[in-house]
Amino acid sequence: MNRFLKRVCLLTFWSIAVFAGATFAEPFDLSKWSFPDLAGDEASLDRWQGKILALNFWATWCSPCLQEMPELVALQSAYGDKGLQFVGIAVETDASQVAMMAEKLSVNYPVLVDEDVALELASALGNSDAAMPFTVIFDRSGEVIFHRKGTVGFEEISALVEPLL
Amino acid sequence: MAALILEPESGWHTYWENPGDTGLPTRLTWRLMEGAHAGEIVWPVPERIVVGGLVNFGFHGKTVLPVEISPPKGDSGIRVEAFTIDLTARWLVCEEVCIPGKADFSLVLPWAKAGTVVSVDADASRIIADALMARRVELGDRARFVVRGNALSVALSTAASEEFLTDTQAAASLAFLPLTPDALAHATPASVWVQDGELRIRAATRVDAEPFERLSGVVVVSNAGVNRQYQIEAELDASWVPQFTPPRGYEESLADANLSDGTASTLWGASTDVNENPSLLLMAIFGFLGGMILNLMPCVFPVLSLKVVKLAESRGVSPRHRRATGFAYTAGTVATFLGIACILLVLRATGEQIGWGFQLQSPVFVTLMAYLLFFLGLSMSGMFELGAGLTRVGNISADDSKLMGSFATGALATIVATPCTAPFMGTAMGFAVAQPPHIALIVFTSLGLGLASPFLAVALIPAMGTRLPRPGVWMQTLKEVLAFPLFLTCVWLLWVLARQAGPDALARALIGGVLLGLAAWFYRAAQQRRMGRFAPIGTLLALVGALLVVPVPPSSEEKTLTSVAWSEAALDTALQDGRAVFVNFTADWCITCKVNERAAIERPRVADYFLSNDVLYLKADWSLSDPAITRALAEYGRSGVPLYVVFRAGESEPIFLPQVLTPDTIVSAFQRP
Repeated sequence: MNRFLKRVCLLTFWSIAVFAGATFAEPFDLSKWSFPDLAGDEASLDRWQGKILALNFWATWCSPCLQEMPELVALQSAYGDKGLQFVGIAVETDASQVAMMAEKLSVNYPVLVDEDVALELASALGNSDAAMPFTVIFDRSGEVIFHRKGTVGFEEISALVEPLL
Repeated sequence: MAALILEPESGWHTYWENPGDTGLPTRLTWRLMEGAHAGEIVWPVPERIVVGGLVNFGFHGKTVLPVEISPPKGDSGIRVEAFTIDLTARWLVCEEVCIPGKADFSLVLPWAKAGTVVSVDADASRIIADALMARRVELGDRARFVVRGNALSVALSTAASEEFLTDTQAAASLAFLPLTPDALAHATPASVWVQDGELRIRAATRVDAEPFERLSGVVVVSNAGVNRQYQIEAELDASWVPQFTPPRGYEESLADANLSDGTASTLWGASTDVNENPSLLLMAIFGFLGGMILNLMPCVFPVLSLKVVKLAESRGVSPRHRRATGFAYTAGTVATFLGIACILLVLRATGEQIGWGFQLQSPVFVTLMAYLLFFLGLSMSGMFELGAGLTRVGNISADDSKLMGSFATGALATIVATPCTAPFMGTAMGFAVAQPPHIALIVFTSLGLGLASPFLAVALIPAMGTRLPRPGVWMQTLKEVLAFPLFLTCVWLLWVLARQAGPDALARALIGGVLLGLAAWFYRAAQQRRMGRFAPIGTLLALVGALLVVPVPPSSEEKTLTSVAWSEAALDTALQDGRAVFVNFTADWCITCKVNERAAIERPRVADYFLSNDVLYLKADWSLSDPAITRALAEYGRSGVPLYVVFRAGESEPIFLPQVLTPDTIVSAFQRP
């Protein structure tokens, strides 16, 4: 490979590394984001600072989301008192529908309801096509340690989170 | 008419007018000029999509959604050049993730005097016309329903329309899909049947359903692979006490609401493919190209190059003979493809739900394919010479054997090509098989021709004869190198096998591979005339052995013994409840454990005994380190597996069984002397 090509590759590699680092190495500023909860009160996402925060974007019309929820509920009850905090963000406009579904699934963590701003947050966290379910986990210092567009399971989140508790 | 065509990727689906338990239907928002109107979507027949206990109605694959657009009537005094149709379409497409979608479209149609045809887009017209053939026929307001308990009963006279009458009389299957949202429990499909001149429906209502006075839905009538939709509206008749009893089979299916997870099922008869009439020539051309591309697949390329190498060896042979070889090879490929096509068509005609690639759904086929490719790979690696034996069979003259050999190579090339077609050409070939028989046969013939074309070209063109490289060491090297793509294909097939039938089946197939290697070794010894009689016998025995270990799916009649993962808590609870318990400390790497499981524990006698005496079967899997299990083993005074502990009903003293088990040992341990 000639030197020019080598330089281009190296440059590309470093740009990607820097970009990726820039996107996720710094703690994500959650204080700028707040959504109403099921009772209608605003909740800012930095309220759970210091905890291991797991944001789960979902919707009542999304069947994979409803299927994974029991696992999230199980995770919350297993690790909630050790510092894990799940927060559900329902990307919808009708809070009463969301409340019904949350009750049906015995959701044991706060659920916030918003459509437009929630989608902006999802986009800022790397999900620009509104794919759901979308889960992002922050460590205690606010850095993103996990993100997935798709369902998550009890075992894998357990394994990820246990060393940090 | 305008239509929106949705083409989600394989495995993804969009939703019907009534999406079911979850999901969002595709919504169209039209922006038209004043006086123009857009109608409702003419929905095709949806599929029932079941995922984890949730039932949705939607569509996989290409979905055509026509809508009638009516321009403003008469001369509304508007002078414009063209009729613009703007559409914003919103949909939800899901697989294991859901992605909401939105897109804007714009169509501009020129105005013309009434009766003139400006231009015709044949494709578009045909697609829309075909989609409209499945449009719902509205039967209006003639049905009645009542809900008693959570059972919904609906009745409609089959004489509601002539067409409905004839259709239902000849129906192969009937189904009912509700349009009223949140009324029925979708998990149990509605039972629909014809009795005493009526169409009758029985279904379960949702547990939390609000009472409703009108019910609308679609009755799907399947007849010879064609589905027709009838929209019915039913009014509540609270005084009606239905006297009908569903015929046998329906009653059972209503009671037995077992749905398996993760299946997307097309309920209604055979394919719902709308019968497009493709250009035959185009299909043939695509088939030909597909066949040509097949030559590049890792399964086929080695075989092809073998043939080219043989051609190179025969440089001195007459052009006529070379041409004959080429034709023989082509005949082999075409004949084999036609043979496969015939098998598929026969199976389809007898009602089997098959698409291309169905053969890969059988673990037996996958294993045999893997064997074949592995064996070929071994031959190409130089372990033994395949084909030398063929000439010795009978007293076939050199010329004839070459032609037969070429035919056989053509057939072989086709057979080894089939697993490689599935990943890349599965949809195309599935489509071909769904067409009328003559079209399918033509496509498969052109596939065969395409596959044979490179070799045929080399054989036919005289100039190629002299251009062929001189035989040399390169031929050997090339052959040996090309064994590797074959081995890679084996790996892929074994991966498919492992996913289909589990690690045990994989182990069996791998053992089969070892036996094949042994057979190859014996074969070579036979060719080198070593070991006298042992060699051919050994080959035969090894081959038979390889066939015997082919993993066969277990018969579903066997009662499977269900085990619960062991834990101290589970054991304590069971003992407190006075239950009898059988604890099996085992590990995957412990051969004694696995033998005992196969030979003693997982046998019908034990399964029956456990079931009828409510014995709890706890399995402590020590394959990976588990401190809890290690502790338990130590408590029982052991440091390794296997360990079998029996607790009789009502007792809490453990009884230890010997390391070598029989079903009798297990059962008698539970019985008090």
